[in-house]
Amino acid sequence: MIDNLFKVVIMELTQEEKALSKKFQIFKGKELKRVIHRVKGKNLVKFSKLMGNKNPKYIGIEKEDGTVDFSNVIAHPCYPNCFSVGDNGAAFDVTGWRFPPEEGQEEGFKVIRNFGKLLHTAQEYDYSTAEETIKHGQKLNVTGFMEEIYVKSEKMWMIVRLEARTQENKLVVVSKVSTCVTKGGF
Amino acid sequence: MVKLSDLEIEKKIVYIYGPVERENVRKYASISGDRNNIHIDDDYADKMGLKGIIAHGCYSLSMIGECLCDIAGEKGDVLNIYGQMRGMVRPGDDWIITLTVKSIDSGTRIVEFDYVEESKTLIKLVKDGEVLKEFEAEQRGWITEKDEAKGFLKTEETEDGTLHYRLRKAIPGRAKIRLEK
Repeated sequence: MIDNLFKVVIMELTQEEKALSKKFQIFKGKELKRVIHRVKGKNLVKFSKLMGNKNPKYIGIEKEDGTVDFSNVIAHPCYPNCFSVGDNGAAFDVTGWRFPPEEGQEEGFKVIRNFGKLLHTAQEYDYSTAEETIKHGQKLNVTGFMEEIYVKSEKMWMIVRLEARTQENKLVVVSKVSTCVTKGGF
Repeated sequence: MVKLSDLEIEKKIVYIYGPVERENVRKYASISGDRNNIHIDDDYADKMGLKGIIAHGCYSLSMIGECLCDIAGEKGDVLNIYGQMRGMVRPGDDWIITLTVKSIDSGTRIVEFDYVEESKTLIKLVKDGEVLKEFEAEQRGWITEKDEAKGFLKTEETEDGTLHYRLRKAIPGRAKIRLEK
């Protein structure tokens, strides 16, 4: 499923939009800075409880002394948001990307010139090829790349594909983050 | 938990969660690491033209994940969640999530859904032409002419009077789960 849903729109670019998209193609395929995410049981539980989850599979079982044994707790299916977007997320790296410097410039223009114009437009978490479940104690390597970047309807659209793997290189989730930057922000 | 035998193509399952609490939006910001001030600070959100803080799109998406956890049950698995963030959700809103069964594979026990998450925003309570209560949406001017033009504004008769509210799409998407045996 993950490879089909995000690509529909790409085919619908006008000739003008294709021309506007051209300068951004140097970022297509660019890898994101790797993020290491340590999965802590207490955070898994906090996340699930915030959604109102009461299933011991996601929140554990409180022992008589008030502590929770996290060893069997697994992540809520949307927990990967904690390492996908936001300040600690792998996709956040894109906000620092720059074009190569032009003549006379020390550093090039930022791809996203105004962070306030950035909108999160779609998100996908896919576990269908996962080899292991996200659980307490894992140290995840989160890597990814810019899968698509283009201009459409006066907005710049970006699709980032992320993978999170354990230290043993077992895939735990594939995530896609779609964002757009509105007029004046790119 | 839902059994495979309970499901059929086009069957709808509805969940209602809420209301969204400011404190929980802040908690989501803290847990997820998405600490953009538009989700935390009303004054900042005002300056950004948002008329108060908005919930994270991923917080709203996580509520769909919550429905899927409930349907999949103790031993089932959520295999895929995809959603498009279309409309803002604010404190005070309810999430109304309607999942529609699109495919069932009885061999693999994999079930695919289309879903729509809507936000229900209370506007005011009116009785005999008198406004008994104005909700934050009315006070902060969240309702626009566009809402009216698009038919998002609704009413509902309650014991206390006529409740005016807005119902609009927040996240449409698709999902896939594997039910337990």
